[in-house]
Amino acid sequence: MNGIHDMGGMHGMGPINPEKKEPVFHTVWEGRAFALSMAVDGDWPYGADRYQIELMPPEKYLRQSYYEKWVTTLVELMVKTRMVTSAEIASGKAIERKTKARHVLTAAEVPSVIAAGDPASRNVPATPHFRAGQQVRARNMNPVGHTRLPRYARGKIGRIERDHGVFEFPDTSVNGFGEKPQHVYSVRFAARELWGEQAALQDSVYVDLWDDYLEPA
Amino acid sequence: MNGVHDLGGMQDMGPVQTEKNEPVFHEPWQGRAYAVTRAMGAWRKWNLDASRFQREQIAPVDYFRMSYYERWIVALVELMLKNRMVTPAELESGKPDPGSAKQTPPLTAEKVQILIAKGVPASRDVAVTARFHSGERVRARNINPVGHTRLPRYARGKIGTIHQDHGVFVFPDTNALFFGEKPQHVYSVRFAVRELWGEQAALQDSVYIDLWDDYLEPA
Repeated sequence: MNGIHDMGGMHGMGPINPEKKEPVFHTVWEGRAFALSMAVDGDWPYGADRYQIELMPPEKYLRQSYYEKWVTTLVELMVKTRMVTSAEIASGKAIERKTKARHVLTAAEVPSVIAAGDPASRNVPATPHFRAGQQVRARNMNPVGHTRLPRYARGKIGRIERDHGVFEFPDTSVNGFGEKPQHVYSVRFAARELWGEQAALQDSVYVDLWDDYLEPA
Repeated sequence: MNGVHDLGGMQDMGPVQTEKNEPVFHEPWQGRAYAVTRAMGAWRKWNLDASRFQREQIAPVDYFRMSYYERWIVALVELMLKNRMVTPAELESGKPDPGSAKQTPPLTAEKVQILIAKGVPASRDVAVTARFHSGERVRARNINPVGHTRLPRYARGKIGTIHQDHGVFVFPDTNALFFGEKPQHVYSVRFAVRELWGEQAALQDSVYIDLWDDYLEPA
């Protein structure tokens, strides 16, 4: 969806203030937010949490911090999939029920789960549509669902820099329409192609793009 | 600037709720906001495009939170501060500083009706050569200025057809920054929605956008 999360090319968003020696978590609750998100083995497809974050109303999206968004959407997904009720969230107390969680993450499992992560790469054969060096155009598509193709690259011509291999396709997978594994490429776009003649001649942007986002140019 | 005000093509902004018999103002303060803005504009310290640009510079999170006339007031205060027409202390207290100069306002009660009736037109009665003609194919330039512009992001780089020449108008991009009026032709340009939004868009639909000569190039 063309939402406020798609910030590439936006002006007036204020300065980026990088911190020296930034801690992993700024406050204790951020660590808990991260832990909760890892511990909940929710009944939703890969990447659905990202899409849920994008569905936040723009004003709220801009007001909330990174981990606030995580918690907000985790709760929304848990309510949606009936893992908890809104009443339980409001009271902070569980209501007795017969259904059991799908899997309870134990303390012993945590290090290996964190180390393994949740890779989006898929070890299946898929024919790449493009090769390194080939000129491509990013398609002009405006899906209402999730996509990883930023608005600023749509319709623009770039060159395949590198083939990253095969990955699940976020546009279909987050909505439960299947993983549709396909090649992902690093595509190089000249800044002038993206932003016009005022951009610096020597600058480029490399965008990771899926096969389905591209057409020959 | 590519700000959140440029909402064309954005999704999930919530429903547009139209009111039946919508009043001009929903609250008395909105009428006052309008009146104060017009009264202060009469000093000619800025222009229409500069006030629009000022509203665009409201921080995105505030921009979404504020109502229409709240944005007017916030931007007006910024412009008054910039032009030293009010001090932060005066805003804080709501009272004029003891030393502040008293002046006769350029907009008096008897002038209001005339001003409101005639508005502040952006058209200019000067001879300027039109660069394009009805029926001609044009491409909207891919520009991304940090200043004010009336060329929406979604039309940039897209090909359309000149539908109609509206005549000569002030160029907002330069006027908003006080770089001059640069009067030029403005056209209604027709874009097929498929050109704008891709093959998922309806075949028969079009969008007409009023675009200035400087936004266009031959296609």
